[in-house]
Amino acid sequence: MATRCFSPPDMVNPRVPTVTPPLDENAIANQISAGAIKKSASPLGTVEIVFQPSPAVFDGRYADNGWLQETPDPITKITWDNVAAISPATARELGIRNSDIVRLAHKGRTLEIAAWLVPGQPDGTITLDLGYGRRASGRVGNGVGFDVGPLRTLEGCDFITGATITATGRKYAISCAQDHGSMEGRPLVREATLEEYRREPKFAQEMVEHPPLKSLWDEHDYSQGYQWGLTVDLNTCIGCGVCTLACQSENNIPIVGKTQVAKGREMNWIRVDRYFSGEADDAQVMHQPVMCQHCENAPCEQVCPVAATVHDKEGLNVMVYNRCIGTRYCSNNCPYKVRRFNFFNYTKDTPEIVKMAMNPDVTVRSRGVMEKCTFCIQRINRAKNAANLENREVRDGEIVIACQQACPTQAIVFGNINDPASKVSQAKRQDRNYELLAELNTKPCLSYLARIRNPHSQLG
Amino acid sequence: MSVEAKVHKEILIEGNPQFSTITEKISRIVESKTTKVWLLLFGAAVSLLLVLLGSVGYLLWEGIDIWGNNIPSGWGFDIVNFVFWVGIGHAGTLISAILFLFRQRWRTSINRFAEAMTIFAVMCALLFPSIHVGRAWLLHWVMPIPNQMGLWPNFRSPLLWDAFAVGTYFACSLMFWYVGLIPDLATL
Repeated sequence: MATRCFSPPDMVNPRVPTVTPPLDENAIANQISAGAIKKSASPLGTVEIVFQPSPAVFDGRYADNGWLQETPDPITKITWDNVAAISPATARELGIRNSDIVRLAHKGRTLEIAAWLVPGQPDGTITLDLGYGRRASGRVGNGVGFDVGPLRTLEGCDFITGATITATGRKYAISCAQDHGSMEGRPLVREATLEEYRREPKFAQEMVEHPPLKSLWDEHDYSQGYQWGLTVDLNTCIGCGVCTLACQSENNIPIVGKTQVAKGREMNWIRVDRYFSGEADDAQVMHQPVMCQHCENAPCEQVCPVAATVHDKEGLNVMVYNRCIGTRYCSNNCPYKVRRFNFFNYTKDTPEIVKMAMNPDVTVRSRGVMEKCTFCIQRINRAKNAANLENREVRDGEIVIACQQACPTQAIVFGNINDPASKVSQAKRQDRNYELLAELNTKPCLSYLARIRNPHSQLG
Repeated sequence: MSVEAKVHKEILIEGNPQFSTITEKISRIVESKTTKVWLLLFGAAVSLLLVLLGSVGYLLWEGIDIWGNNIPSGWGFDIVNFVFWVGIGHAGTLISAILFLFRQRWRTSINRFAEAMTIFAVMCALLFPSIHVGRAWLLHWVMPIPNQMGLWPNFRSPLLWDAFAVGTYFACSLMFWYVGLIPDLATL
């Protein structure tokens, strides 16, 4: 996904190389196996700088879109900013820490930008996202992040070599939606290599041992009707965060801005957790979308004093905004931490025209109430109404929830788990199926399909 | 010699005062003219109270953002304050109750003070959870009193039992205080 530098017509010059030579894949594989690429080829203080379009605002054309600005970067989980991504080893050598402002210089051009340590970034390189630091973007995008344009020349639109990097000793405030990258030994994302999976097909269920799960409360009865459930296939999830955006659009979720994200008050109902595995200098990245798990034995429901979060007959954990008084006990008791609280009246200043852009089927929440993923209950009800009018059951696949609809890799499957023939029931019967933190006896309706890696023998 | 007799002989108040001198002394505190020092200290206390009232007003106006809580740390200084004041209240009850249980007759000189401390501390304690909720104006929904939704509170919630427990504690402390206060009220 390299961006090309589009020269103005009068500057087209045949001497400027605009096409990089084709990559010799064998040569690269040989170099990796020989360890040549991992080592920093540049002398201390000089780096190769790679420019890439931002995953959120691309080349800056979407910089005025608040939803995109607040979407965390898939790898760094940084919102409302671009950073100089640097490998932990190089940062150690240079004495650079997260949020340090560094000065990048190349042929008399300089740029000051905040550095961020990214495990898996090749040593001796810096990756800069384009599309930030705009001055004429609009109400949202002006002055967000750093303009990396000053370092780019026609000689090297995509990358420059031999740039120098120096720490300035100053710090910059970064709003990162997930500042921890380790699973701390808990199998949250479960993965195996293909050989391991062939040896132990049920590895995902066997990764956690727990005593028999007994509950004090009665089981819910689903002998009739629907029970909604969902699976997320971690094998196909690429961590792009489009589900977050789709949910934001469907469910009238406000953006809260950089300062509030720094305070941990982002409102996204579905977040994509990012974990690093392996060594910090040679890390693998794993992604896991986490939304309300609609637990059958929901810890939130038990602690709400005013019964504002309750279980419905179709297995949904529903939120009654009108009853909520905002004790936040439910969020405290939620092991998945997927509940979001309206610390402010975020829609107070919404212009009338923007109010008309809200989804009319979804309540716009006011200050002081808790909210969370509803499994797009408005879409469920629409499908049920349509089915009722035709005097039939809701067909499998008739309800497509927002995150599922937007997912580019179709990692999310939603449906009636009471129907053994439904796609979601079939997915849940797979041996890769596991439930997140099931050992807490929450009995989630949402399950994950474990990730299988099949790395190239020379790359793995 | 019996324990009773020994206790009776012990001198609790020196100077052998009469009941009338003690009544005179206690009543003078409330019936004489307020001193300037007292007014000064009271003014300082009230100005601190104004800080609280101003902060609570700002809190109710803006939203509980100003507590600085977030997700996942939903509770913070507000609940710390609650626990702190409940602790202060318990200290008052403890002092008063221990002295009562050990039949220390001199306790009458401090039990009013200790129990008043309990009551006001519990009031402070109740204040903080009340203003930490997102919609404080609907706080009565946690109690099983009729509301417009025709809905009982969730009896499984420990928070509901917190409200009952602290409410009961407040009511009992108030009665405990009142019983000790009866002779004083009669005197005045």
